[in-house]
Amino acid sequence: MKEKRNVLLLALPCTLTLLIAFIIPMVYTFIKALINDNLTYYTKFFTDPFYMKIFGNTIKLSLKTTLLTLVLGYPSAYFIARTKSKIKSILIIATIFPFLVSAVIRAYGWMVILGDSGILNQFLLNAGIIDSPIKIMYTETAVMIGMAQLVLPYMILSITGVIQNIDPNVENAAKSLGANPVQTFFKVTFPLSAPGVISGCILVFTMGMTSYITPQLLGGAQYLTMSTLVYSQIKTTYNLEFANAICYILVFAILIFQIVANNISNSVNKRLGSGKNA
Amino acid sequence: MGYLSIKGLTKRYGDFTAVQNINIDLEKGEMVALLGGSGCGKTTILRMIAGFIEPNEGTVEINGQVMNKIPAYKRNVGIFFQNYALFPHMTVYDNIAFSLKLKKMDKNVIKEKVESILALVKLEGLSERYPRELSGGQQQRVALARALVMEPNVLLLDEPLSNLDAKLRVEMQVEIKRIQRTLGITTIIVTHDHEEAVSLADRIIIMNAGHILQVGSPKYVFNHPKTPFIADFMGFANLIHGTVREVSDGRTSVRTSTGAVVNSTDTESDKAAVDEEVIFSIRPENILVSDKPEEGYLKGKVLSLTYKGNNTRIVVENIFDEPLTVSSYDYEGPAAGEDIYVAFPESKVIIYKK
Repeated sequence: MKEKRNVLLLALPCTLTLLIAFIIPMVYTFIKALINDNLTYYTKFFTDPFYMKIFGNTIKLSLKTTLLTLVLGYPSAYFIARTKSKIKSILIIATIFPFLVSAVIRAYGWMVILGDSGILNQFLLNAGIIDSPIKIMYTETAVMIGMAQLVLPYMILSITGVIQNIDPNVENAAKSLGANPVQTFFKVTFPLSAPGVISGCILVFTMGMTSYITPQLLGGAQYLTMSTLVYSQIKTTYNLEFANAICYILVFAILIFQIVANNISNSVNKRLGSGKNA
Repeated sequence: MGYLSIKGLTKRYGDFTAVQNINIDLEKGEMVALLGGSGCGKTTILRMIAGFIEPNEGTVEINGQVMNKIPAYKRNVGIFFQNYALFPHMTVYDNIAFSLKLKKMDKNVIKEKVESILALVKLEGLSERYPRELSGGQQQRVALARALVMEPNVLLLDEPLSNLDAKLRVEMQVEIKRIQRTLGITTIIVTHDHEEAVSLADRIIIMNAGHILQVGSPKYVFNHPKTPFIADFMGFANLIHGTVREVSDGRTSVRTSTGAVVNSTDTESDKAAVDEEVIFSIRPENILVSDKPEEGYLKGKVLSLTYKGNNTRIVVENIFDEPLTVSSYDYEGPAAGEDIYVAFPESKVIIYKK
């Protein structure tokens, strides 16, 4: 039992910091707001279609971003995990490299590309594909593109780690048993990589729900998400109580999502078994 | 023209040639062992037959059809992997039924086939288990059943027994042989264990560094390895240098630098002339031992004894320059440091030219 206590001791500094600087203030603010305002602001949020739409948009944006990064990230992850060439470490570094550039700068970069007179529209106009600039900036599409680029590395790294641990002979076995490459992927590779896909999706979805810089700069006032709504409630409307309620709605939404996702993840991991078959 | 025919098969990785101009012909229902050390190219050949890698040169033909451009999933070649490579997310039943479901067979037919193959490999009642819930031997049998149930044209076994303990290994040797005979599947088994190759295969192919060194029946290869290298690989622990002193009536007499004389009447040995330098070899278990001087016995000293259950491995010095390894059944002779007398049955001594 002593050993167990020592292990718990190791977790103490982090736990204490989180408790004092995060959990206690959160609970305190939540309860205090409830005492002062009852459920006034929560009711306001859930009964006004305007706010509900923003809530819905945020979830939709996060889901779309998750799906986009999954589709973009999986092939890259598979390649990185399976390549035997020396560029493997370079690819991993290249995956992490964008972290060196701040989200603000990257958002400005996307503005240059996606704006009405941006590179993309100029190109399409000059190529004669369109007659007038298409509006991308300050739409869901712009935010989604910016977000996807921001969170893609998390998806790639989560999946790469899992695929690296799948025995290539298991895929070969499937082929020898008559499965074509598509069947091999959907019946063997993908199910076995599910733990990585799930943890990647949890990460990316959560980051999509809470991200602020990207929606603020690429979505602006025309495309609001929960986090930019909170900001505008504080800075523009000075409605701190309402901003507080929105924050907690977001927190609870993510909490519920995490609980559901963790349950799925646990049952998948259980199905695959903790140990690999040697 | 065999059922499985490999012609001029060559595989290179950069400057390294893994497999060099390999030709093998298998009759339908034949079981051939590819025997060699690690890195000799035997697994590479298997992977080319299965279609996981493409040869640089040469062809693989099954039943007269060239397979080179046919992808692995259309070849109907069953493969058993050294690490079993079972699908960890599927039950035993689903593992075995995998190929049948892909063929969109009727559910009842699949059930029937899976149950009969489970009976064949003696795994009845385990169909709902996951691979991780099985012992090594059970996993191995699932892997075998999975490869067999698709009724492959050719079955490839990659080190099928290497992960098993000694008792299970013998059991599975018998099982594999029985199943292969029952179903009459053309089979290639890859192994580094000469005893496994000898006990399972109809024919043995010995490989080294991407080349075939010798092909023959287990009995022949076991008793008449073509070169000292193969002899060493086939368990001839003794490779002793000497000079031919006399050749007469099919008997070759060799004298070593220590003055010891050994005779050979082996008809398959290299024909060496008088005064030619040679290497002679004999299996440890073919050497006779005695604790007292006898006619035709050479005197030596026991360097060490290793008990291996029924057999005792005795290393003897002071006869040749090289230490001599003797294997004796139920040994109760001289202890380490004591004198020992050994004799070499003339028909069991093989002579190689240098």
